[in-house]
Amino acid sequence: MFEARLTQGALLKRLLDSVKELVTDANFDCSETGISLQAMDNSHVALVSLSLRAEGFNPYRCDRGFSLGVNLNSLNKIMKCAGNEDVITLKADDSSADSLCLLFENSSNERVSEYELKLMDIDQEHLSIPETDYDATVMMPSAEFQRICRDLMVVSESVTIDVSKDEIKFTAEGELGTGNVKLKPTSTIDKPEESITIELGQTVSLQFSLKYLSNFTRGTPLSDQVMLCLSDNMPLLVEYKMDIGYIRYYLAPKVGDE
Amino acid sequence: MSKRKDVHDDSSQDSNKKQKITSSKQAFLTSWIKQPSQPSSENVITKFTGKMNEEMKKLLQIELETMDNEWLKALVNEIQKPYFVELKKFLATEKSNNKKLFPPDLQIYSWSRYTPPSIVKVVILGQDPYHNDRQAHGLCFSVPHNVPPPPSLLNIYKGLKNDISTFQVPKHGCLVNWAKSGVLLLNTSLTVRAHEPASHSGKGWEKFTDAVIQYLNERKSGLVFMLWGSHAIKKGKAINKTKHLVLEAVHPSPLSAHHGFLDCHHWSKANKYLKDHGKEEIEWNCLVENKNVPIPSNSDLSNNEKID
Repeated sequence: MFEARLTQGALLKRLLDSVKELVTDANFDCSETGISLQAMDNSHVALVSLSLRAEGFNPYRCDRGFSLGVNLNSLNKIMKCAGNEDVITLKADDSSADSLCLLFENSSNERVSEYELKLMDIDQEHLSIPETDYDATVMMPSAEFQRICRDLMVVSESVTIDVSKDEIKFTAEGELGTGNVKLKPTSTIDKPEESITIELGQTVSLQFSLKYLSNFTRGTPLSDQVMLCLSDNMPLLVEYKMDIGYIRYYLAPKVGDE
Repeated sequence: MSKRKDVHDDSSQDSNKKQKITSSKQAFLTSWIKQPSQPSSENVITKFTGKMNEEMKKLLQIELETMDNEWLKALVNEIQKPYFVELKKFLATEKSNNKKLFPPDLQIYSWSRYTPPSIVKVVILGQDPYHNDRQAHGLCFSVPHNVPPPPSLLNIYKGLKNDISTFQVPKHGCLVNWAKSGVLLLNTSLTVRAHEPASHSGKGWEKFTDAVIQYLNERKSGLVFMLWGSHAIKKGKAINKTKHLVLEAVHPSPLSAHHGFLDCHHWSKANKYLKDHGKEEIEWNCLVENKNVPIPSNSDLSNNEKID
């Protein structure tokens, strides 16, 4: 028996929105400790890793580990039928998981809707992401990161991110010209969500596809702050932390031809 | 515009950078993130056995160690059901009573290793493993290379020759190459007591192999099921005929084969269906080459003793 009830149903809608552009089919791996999802995009350039802790649900019950193979597009269609204020309950039979039951409850008008999503058999190897000590870790307002990606897309398809001790710089160069955005660390005690911090081991300069980065910024509604972790010649980690868990994106850098 | 560019190019640093940008290529994440093509069987086993107690693990040792990982993943819940546990206990009792059982332990699940769910295209259902010495090796209708092909198999060859004239009747009765090409050769009962036909029927294997068929029926589409004889037809009753092709005929046994089996043309029908559904056809002629194909075994298991 698997059952997970989430009081803020809107969170699940947002989470799905932040994953579905990147992958079409994925396994939700359910265990005693929570729900996780890990999938690489079709072009093998980016990876999304989602983790929701059991404590974030009330109640959460999962008797044994199993996977829910889901077509995210179909799930998204069903999730659109849930109101933003709805309490969402996910249910499945862990021994013969051929469908996922979704229950949407609206406490104010006692409306209850129930949907059943057919599951799929998705063969997915579990990917091992190497643990790394990153050269640079930047925390910044997620809306600011979203804006930078959106703005620089005007200029180019890729962005170079340079991090030094007292500055993070985003640079784009394209046919029509160039553009760059520089941010300095700030800390506002009364508004921690607006602060920018840089932890630096050594300076880094890496280039990434803006198409993917702006795809990642679909996670913006999930968290006020976004964390960027960079190391020379390593994939970029973009993380949005939530009360209930996190969503992480990994993106392979663009590398010189020679 | 071009003038401005020139100005830029004067600064060597900028021009370097520019060159770097124009010539940069998107790297693949796979260079950093390992995608183990074959997870070590040990890991998979521990993943499945996390919640099993020692007694259960011991009872299911053959399943955990010799079943293909894909199949094990699909059936891990099934093999923990009470009826299957009872079946395993029954088989253990048979052994402790010094009954000789076929096929050998390591080959009970050889069908799963040759034909994991991801490659299954055709399913042929048999009934009981062959009950004479050295015949059964875990694939229905098939016998190892050094054993003469039994009468039913000879009729299958005849039917195939009638159907596809280019088919070369092999001298042996080993269908491993079919199994490897995606033909799942599954018996209803997976074991039998030596020289006692159907001695293990009604002990639980039927339920288990039903689960195998049901899994394919539900989770796959566009498969071809070849059901020969009333037993197989009955067993395949639940197969969804809109999703799959179900071909029925009498059993190839010499007692019934002349009532339509020899002219059933199932093999060309199967290939046409596969082709129409965008799948690669089965090369039924693949039996004649590659003689003496060894049975794949899990690397950590080299002999029978370890299991017994």
